[in-house]
Amino acid sequence: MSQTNLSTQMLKGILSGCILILLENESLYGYRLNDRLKEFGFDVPMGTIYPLLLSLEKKEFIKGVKKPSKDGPDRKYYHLTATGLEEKENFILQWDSLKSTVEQLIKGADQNGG
Amino acid sequence: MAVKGAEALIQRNASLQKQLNKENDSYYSNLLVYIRVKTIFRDELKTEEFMMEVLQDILEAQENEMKAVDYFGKSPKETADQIIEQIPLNFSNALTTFLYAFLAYAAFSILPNLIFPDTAFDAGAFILSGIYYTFLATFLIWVLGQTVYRNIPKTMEITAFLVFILLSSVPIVLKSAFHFETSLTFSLDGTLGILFILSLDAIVIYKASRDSLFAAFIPIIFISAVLGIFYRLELTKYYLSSAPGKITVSVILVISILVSSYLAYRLSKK
Repeated sequence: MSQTNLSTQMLKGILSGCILILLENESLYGYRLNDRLKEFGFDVPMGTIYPLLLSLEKKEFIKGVKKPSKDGPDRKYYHLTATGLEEKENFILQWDSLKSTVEQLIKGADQNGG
Repeated sequence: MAVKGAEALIQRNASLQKQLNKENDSYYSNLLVYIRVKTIFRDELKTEEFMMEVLQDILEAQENEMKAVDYFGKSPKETADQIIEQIPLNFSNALTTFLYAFLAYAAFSILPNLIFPDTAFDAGAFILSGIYYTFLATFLIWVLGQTVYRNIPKTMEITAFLVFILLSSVPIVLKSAFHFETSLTFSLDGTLGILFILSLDAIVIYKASRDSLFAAFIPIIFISAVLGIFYRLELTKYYLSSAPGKITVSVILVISILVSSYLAYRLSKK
């Protein structure tokens, strides 16, 4: 796997986890979800998010429900399912473990180098 | 039925798309064509629901003075391929579409040929050409999918168009120039002919009620059906075979062709 592919895959995994975290607290449609991700510093085009949303929905981690919109057809709002909640917990555990491993590694490398 | 829901979404999508500005419309249209042609063997309803979602999001981005390319991304083809992978396969959708298109082709191609009861109907040749056109249409859709995100030189576009015209005319040439016939040929006179015409007419009306462009062909199809029935009824067939009857039939047919052509032109403009 090339470096670009690795970082793309990593980003996708992290973004999927972040989407689950955001959807736990509120139901969001595509555009609003992108806005919320941007508020936290994820400046990624929506084209990156759509396949993740479809994949999460296919795995039944999230569910889309049509809700009336004030100007136009109904919009699809996504929310977290029970399995999605478990997946979110798993993601946070994995993230914590990965984060502390990488931090220890960086700290260790710095000490050895210094 | 899933297709009904998908068709309603397609119409809704087309009317909502008019709200896009020129640049965003061009971006979204390419995406729409690419995803639609690449998902012919996938869940149509899911595809249309998703494309509606994308359209609504792009419209909201447009309201916030954001370009579709900045919102969706600079690699729409790569993204679209990832999206397509996530849409479930559904061969029954494609089969229904092909069967339905085949029936519509049957109605539109056979009815005008059924006016005169003494013309035999070659069911074998009809089925073979129907299968041929189905493959040709699938091939055309595949070619369309390959060309969306590529710069095709004008000369190649013209060549492709000419090749397509040539391929489309193969069954007609085989029949008219080489008198191609199968043994599945039978006569459709009398009551059998009338029942056959009425069944085909029912299909046309059903198709026309779901697709406005097909509605343009109702005058010619309807007139063909009525004339086909009248030529098979004792009460009317002698008049239609007389000199004034032939003139009346000719005038009615020309008028119906003109009306259908005009309607097709008007509806295609919408």
